[in-house]
Formats: sequence, C-alpha cells, structure tokens
Amino acid sequence: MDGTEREELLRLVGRLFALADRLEEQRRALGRYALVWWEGAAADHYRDLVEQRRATLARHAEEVRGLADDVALLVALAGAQGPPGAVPAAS
Amino acid sequence: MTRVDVRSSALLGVAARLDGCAEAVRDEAAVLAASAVRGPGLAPDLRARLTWLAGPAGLWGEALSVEALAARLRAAARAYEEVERAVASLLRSVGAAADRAGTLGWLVDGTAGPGLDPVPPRWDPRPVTGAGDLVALGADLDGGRVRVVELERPDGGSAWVVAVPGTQEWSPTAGGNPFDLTADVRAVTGDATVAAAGVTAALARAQRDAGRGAEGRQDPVLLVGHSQGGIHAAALAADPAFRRRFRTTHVVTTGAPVGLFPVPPSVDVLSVEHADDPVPTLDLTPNPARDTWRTLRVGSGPAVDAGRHAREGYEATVRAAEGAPRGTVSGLDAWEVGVAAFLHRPVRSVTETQVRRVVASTGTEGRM
Repeated sequence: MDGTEREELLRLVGRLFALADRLEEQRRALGRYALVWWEGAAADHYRDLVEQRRATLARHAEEVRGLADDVALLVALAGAQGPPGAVPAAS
Repeated sequence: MTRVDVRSSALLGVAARLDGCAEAVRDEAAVLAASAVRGPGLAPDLRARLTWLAGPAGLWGEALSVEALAARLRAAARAYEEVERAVASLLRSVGAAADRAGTLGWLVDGTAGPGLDPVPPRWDPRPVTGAGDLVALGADLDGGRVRVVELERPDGGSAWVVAVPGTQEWSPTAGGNPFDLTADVRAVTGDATVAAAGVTAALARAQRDAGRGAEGRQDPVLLVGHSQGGIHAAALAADPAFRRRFRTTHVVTTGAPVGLFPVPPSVDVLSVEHADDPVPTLDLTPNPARDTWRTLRVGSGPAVDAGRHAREGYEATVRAAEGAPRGTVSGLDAWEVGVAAFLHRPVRSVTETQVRRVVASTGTEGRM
C-alpha cells in the first residue's frame, strides 16, 4: 500500500464514520415523526413501521461503523508491515 | 375550523419530512457506492461489504422503505381529508339550517321550507334520573321525530332535553372503512340540514308554547342522540348560531363518530362508545381528551360487530355503568354532578314534532 492509497483509505474511514453519524441523525429524526396523537389501527401500524425503520437504520449505522473500523485496521496493518504492496485481507 | 383539518395537514407534513429523510439516506447510499468503486487498496471482502451496504439490502433499499412510509401517510391523510371535508360540509349545513330556522321562520307550517307536524308524544313523562334515562329518550324517534322535554329547575326556570333523531340507522361495514362515513355523511348532509332546522324549530316552538320565548334563551339545553342523531347533536352544539339561540350546556351521544366536531369546552359532552362497534371510530379520530368531554368506552375491539351498534344495547350499557359501585366507572359520577340541572327534576311538558322535508319544485314531501 503506497502513501496515496493509505491517505485515500484514511479519508474513506473518516467518510464512513461521518456517514454512520448521519444515519444516526436520521434515526433520531424518524423518532420525532411517530405522530403520538394519532390513534387507531392505522396509526399503530404506522408507528410499528417507523420503529422497524429506526431499527434498520441503527443496524446499518452499526455496520458502517464496523466497516470503518475494519478499513482503519487494514491501514494500520499495512503501515506496520512497512513496504508497500501486499494488502492483507481484513479479518 | 382549525381542529377539523389539522390531522391531514399534520400527516402530510410528516410525509414530506419522511421524503427528505429518504432522500438523505439515498444520497448516503450514493456516497458508499462511489467509495466501493474507487476505493484503492481495499481488500475484496471490504469492497463487497461497501457494495452491499450501498445496495438494495442496505441504504438504497432503506431509502425506498422510508419513501413507502411517506406514501402510506399520504394515503392516510387523503382518508382524513375526505372525512374532514364531509364533517365540514355537515357543519356548514347544520349551521346554515339552524340559523335560518331561527331567523327566517323555517318550519312554520305553510311555508316552503321543511314542514313541522306536532304529533302525540310516545314517551310517558317521568323524571330523568341519569344518563340511561337520557339515552332512553332516543327510543321511537323514527321518521324524523324530535322529542323535547321541559324540566323544572329548582329556581323555577326550565331546563330542556332535546332527543335528536337520526335520519336512518347506520349501515356499518365491518372493518370501519372511513369512506363509509364519507359516503354516509355526504348522503345525509341534506337530511342534516332538515334535522338541524327541525331541532331548532321544535325547541323554539316548545319554549314558545311554554311561555318561555325570550326567557328561554337562558334555559340550559341538553342534546342527546344516538348514531346519526349523535352526529347531529354534536354538529348543533358546535354551531355558534345554534348556541346563541339556545344555551346548550350538555351533549350526550351514543355510538356516534363525533371526535371531529369542534364542540367548545363550555359544552359538557358525554360520549358512549362500544369498543367493538365500528361506527364510533368511522371518523378515524378519538374524542378530545378534556375535562368537559368524557368518553365512556366499553368493552374491547376489534370494532367489527355491527350488532353492537343498536341504541338499545347502548342504553343497557349506560344503565349497567350507572348501576356499578360509585367510582368504578371513571368520569360518570363527575358527569352526573355537572348535569344535575336535568336529573331528578319534575317534567313540565313533553312535545314531539315530526319534521318533513318539502321538495319545492314538485310539491312532494317526505319524512326525514
């Protein structure tokens, strides 16, 4: 891994963490759209769906963070091995 | 009519925000996809994970799901708009009719307006002892019969109970499709006009006959109605012109979808609903939660049993609630205290009036 690739990957790590934060913001925003005053079967179903979406967004945010961690680990391992070239697969 | 249209507006507003959320998530998916393509030095498994996260199983698919949520809300908002339009239309009709009946002499025999026929009362005078007796006043009102009961107040004045007829029994559809309400309310808007005018004129006539023309304006009035009669009662109580003419202090409804009617807090409302009766929920709207609007909701859903809509069943429910130990039926005791001017009072008079709609162009007429 040369220096340019390393910088590119580090930028990717930063983008991924920022993306995870923005997904978390969207998840919080969805929580504000629960329409608590709305009652009835349709309202209950809507709120169930909102909760499903919030859970899925939380899962995606966690996956993005995990991906960012793994890319960061890849960069660290590449740096520790010294010479550019061989890129180890992330565990 | 702020309260009537707030629900659809709120749903549409949230739907727009959900669309914004979906767009933001889709943008993030694009960022991820671009990274998967151009990210140099990425191990294949990391690149595959990036691609997966950006795709249909990841953020791109999530954006679609949020958009679907927005579409669902828009559909609900459309249903609300239909109901709100119907209720607004009903209110306009009732308001205009009550106003005209009070000021232009509608329903005076011999005019071109709806006709008014005094008929022998079908109700034996006896003091009203509670909510059950008030609901019982709605019996035998078929054919557009308005029943007015004059009660003697302790200070010598009168209090008036008006049993408002429904124009027809509801034909509830299992599942509570809101468009049933729309269709029904639209169908009866014309009848609501007649009913409003009929109630106004019947009450005015009863007060005049009792010698309480001008004084009668200060007499407290309680409106009671079942099903569509409850709708008419709530619509009249929500109408400022009717309230100016008659000091409406109380409304009792059974099995009626009345949550959208802007009845002011100065009017004390008791609404009784069977949880398994589909009709009270046809307006998609719970009744306002406030000190002067008590909703006695009995049983458990789902609201699919049309047999639970009968007035007689509601009367039995209310009587059972009244027979329960004090304090066990939330709000009922407090309501009885507030309605004391009408309970256990001697009956001064009972008048019943049949309202008929006259079709001016053909000269034909029909019972309401």
